[in-house]
Amino acid sequence: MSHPRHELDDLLGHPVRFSITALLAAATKAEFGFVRDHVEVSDSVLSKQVSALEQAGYVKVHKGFVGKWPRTWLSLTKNGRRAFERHLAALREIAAADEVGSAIRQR
Amino acid sequence: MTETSPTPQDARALLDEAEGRAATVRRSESQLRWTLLLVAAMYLVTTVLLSFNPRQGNRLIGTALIATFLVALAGAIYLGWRVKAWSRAAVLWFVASVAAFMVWNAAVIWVSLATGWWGPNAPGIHFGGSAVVAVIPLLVATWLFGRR
Repeated sequence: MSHPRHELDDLLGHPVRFSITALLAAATKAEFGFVRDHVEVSDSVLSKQVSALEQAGYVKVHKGFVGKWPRTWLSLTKNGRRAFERHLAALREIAAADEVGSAIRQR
Repeated sequence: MTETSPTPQDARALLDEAEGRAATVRRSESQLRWTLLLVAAMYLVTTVLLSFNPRQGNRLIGTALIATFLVALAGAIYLGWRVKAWSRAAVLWFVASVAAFMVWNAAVIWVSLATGWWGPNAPGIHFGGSAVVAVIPLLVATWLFGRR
């Protein structure tokens, strides 16, 4: 049986990229400013990390207007959603392994 | 493939973060519930205004009705603008709530007419009474939306 760390996604190992993906995983679309404010990064940091996720095919960027105001929306692609689910499953396994270990140590 | 592994504590912290981020999105999309409340308020104000003189109306009531619609429209645009993240489930929930209101409202109107509650000599307050019953689905949906 291989260690669950092998199932972790390298791209999502980066804390900012993980936060962006976790936010987008719960939404169909999220506004750029909303993601920036909640992940607590600057516009340029978010742009850089979103570009990396976009290049990997995990995130899609949609540009549009609400009235006169330009807005950028971000969404997770099917690939991105799948990768995030796999990453979460691996994290769950890692966390669970510790719980099993603690239970054995307590006996 | 990753060579280093997060500790179980780190993994748990990341899982907690993912849950927290999902809750953030749910809070943002729950703004949609205020739009449902706005529709209910607009409907009630409209029927209260119409209750004053349901058969003939007058200029004052007509002006108040137009003002109500304009305020509701401005409010709906503002509330829509405030929703910065949303899921398909929330939008479906919103549309289903409005659809349920429309079906229920049609049923209330039909019963009001069929039973003579809205008869030619019925007092104007009957109109408002039906409206209060008609907005029940919107109020329930608003409450349920807040609990999601």
